[in-house]
Amino acid sequence: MRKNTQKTICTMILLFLGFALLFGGGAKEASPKAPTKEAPKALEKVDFQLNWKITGDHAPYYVALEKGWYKEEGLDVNVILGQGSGYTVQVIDTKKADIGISDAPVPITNRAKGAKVKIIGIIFDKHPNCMYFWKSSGITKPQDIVGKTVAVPATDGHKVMWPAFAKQIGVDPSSVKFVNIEPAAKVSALASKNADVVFELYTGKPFMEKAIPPDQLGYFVWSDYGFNAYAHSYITHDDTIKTRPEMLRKFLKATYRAWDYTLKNPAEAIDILGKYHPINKEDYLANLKVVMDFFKTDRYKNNGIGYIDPARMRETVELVARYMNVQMNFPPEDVYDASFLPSPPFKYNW
Amino acid sequence: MHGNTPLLSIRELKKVYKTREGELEALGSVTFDIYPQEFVSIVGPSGCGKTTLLKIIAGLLPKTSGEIFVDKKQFDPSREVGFVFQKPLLLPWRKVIDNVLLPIEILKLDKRNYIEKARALLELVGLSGFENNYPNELSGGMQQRVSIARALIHDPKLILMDEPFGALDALTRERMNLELLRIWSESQKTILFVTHGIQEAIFLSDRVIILSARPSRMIKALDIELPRPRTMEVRSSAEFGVYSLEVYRCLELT
Amino acid sequence: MNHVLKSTDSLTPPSRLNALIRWVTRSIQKNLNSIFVVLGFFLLWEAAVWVFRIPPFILPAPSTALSHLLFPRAEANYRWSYHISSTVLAISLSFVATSTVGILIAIALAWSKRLKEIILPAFVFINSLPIIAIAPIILLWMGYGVFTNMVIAFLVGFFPVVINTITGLEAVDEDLLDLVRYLHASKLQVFLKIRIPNALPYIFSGLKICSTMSIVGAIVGEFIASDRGLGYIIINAQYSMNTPPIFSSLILISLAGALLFTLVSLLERILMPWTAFEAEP
Repeated sequence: MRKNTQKTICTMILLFLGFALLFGGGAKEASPKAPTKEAPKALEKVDFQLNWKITGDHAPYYVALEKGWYKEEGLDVNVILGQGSGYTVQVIDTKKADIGISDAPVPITNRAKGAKVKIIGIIFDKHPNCMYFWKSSGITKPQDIVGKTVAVPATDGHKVMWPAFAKQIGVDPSSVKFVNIEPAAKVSALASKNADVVFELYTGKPFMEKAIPPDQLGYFVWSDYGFNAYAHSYITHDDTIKTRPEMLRKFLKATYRAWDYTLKNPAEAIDILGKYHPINKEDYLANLKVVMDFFKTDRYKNNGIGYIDPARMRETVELVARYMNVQMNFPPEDVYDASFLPSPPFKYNW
Repeated sequence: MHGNTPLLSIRELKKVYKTREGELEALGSVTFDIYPQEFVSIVGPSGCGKTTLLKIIAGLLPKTSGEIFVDKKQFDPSREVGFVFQKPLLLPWRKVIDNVLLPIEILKLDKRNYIEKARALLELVGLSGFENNYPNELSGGMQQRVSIARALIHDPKLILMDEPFGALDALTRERMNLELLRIWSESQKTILFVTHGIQEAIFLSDRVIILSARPSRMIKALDIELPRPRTMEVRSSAEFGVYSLEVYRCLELT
Repeated sequence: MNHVLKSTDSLTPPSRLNALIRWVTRSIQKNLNSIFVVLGFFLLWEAAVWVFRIPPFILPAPSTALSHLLFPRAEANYRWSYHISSTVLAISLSFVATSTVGILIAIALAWSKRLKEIILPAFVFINSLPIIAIAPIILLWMGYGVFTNMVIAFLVGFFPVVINTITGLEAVDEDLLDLVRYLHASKLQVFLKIRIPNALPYIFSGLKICSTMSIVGAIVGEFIASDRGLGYIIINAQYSMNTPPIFSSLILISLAGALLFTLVSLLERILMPWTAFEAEP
């Protein structure tokens, strides 16, 4: 009978493991990423760190995956969800990923502190930083934020760049009270009025409008008030630039090709994104259409999507240096490398 | 019966506990012999060191001074002693038969050779048919029978019993006394039985060793010459009364 | 003489399988009421949503949550089976790993007093760390994936297993140890034959806590670091204020918790058949 007991234990353990494996196997089969993960050895593996959980502007990467454009370039791209720009810079600086998305000022300030990260291409040509509030709170201009409670995640790009924007609009950066929240709780923090103001990208407006009636939702896009810094950009490590320049070139080529396609076919792009992630397509399409506004610039029309304007980059670096009290111990040209952008460029005729 | 050599000889056995308050003499000087197939009881007031004595013989406690030997040789309790404790101490997760076989596993003997013996012992203690029950399905008396079978399984020469029926009700206890006498005579073992029941000691034993209160000394070794096999009627005999009186008197003297 | 004894102490050896079946049916009967309570709660919830016209992004009706779960939707492909299976996998692996490692650690600590004196305070320290605070650091070290979730679940759930198992291994009647000590039992024998079986009830109460903790750990892991699983659906839906799938996920997570707890209880009954008779009238 003791033998029987032992047998029962063994059977239970086996059953349990079998159960786990069954589901595990099922999970793998069901994953649309499986084919890319088991790609032949000829493909070069690239870990790509997003800035955030999935948003509409992440559709192009899945378009490129779905249409096989990364594979065409010989790349096996693994898309990793993010935790904010600060986190992306940490990940790239410690080489946990090869390429990442970050708000431009974040790698610049971190480079001043010794991080070996560089910008290699621009995503949004306008800065999407934005602040949301209830119109009933009496805020009528950005300066009214003084004395208010602002909800923002600790590693969020908004938080990092707030001092620059604050000085630009002429208020003391420490004149607001920050509340640290989970990234996913931005909308509910404002909807529940736990905070007077929430810092969230302009692209999040469709989600805000679900919880707060559009006629009661107030917002200021920072770039409308002189915040002319570069925004979401692709960044990589100095060593990667030295050792894998071809990879970077190929990655940006396929990526901007996907951006070009996404801007022309937003609905299809969101359909593709919906195959990979449990998203509400209507919401995300609205989100993507807001994003598209950041691409409708003369720079992208004339020089192609992703173009890095040296003058504006210098301005961004100066902005960071001046308003965020960062000692720039290197020339502004050091923070970026435009040599990997696609040629010919993908010009956006909006 | 006393003609042959002793199975176990105890000479001037002493036990002193060292406590924070100083030394505590648990066992004065105890000397006696036990002969093969003898039934010897030890009686004495509570705390006189009866249990300590058994534990020293079983090797569970170190002695302070004195000698314990068998045939002038040192004595290996693990092979030669079966211990029946106050509580049945059955392992609740083992079936009755596996509880009986526990000493075989501990001694790393081949269990297959003992399964039949375990069944026979369970039959001897009146529990055949209960091999595959769990202990908590048995009554207190039945559990103590299992522990007796367990003490016999590895065929020790000497069975030490530490008030094994102390927790049972009077009726069950008397029945168990009769049972024990039958098991003793059928198994031909030597039993050293600790109790504070004077009647029980006289009824069961060939000899009753009377210990005084702490520090315990041996007051007397009283030979009980009642006829065997003993039945319940013996208890109402005149001789039984005389022996009881003798033991009571010895204990009152202390 | 045997016959006399048997007539008084008589007892028919019952069938173990029957006892198990009886236990299962009794448990179902016992839980029937709580099932009705839960159903009533859902009905009340449903009624409240309809009566007070609560918008779905604040509180969706249970029927809305269920329809997200059961029917394909035009606006979103939630791929429930994929996310459910990755969460189930994460929970199962976490539970198996945490309980196995926890029990082994406990045995090692109970074996060596010195080791216990050194390591147990460190465990108390680790257990006091708020998981929300260390999870992002773990994420930075290891990236996300099932293994990271397992580490997070382990940190959340191992302590009750270790403490319960150690308590069980040490809660042995001193007389029971005398019983094998006079037979010169080795330390290994004492562990295998006395301490470990004696600890089983304690281990199982630890495992029951661990089953809930594994779920908390796995879901927290998915919140912080994952691109799949029910926790991921929740976090993603939170971002876009898409509340119904959040509630669908919550219902599924509770179900998983109840299921795992039931499995542990069943395993306990099967591995400890002797306890089946204590509850008998």
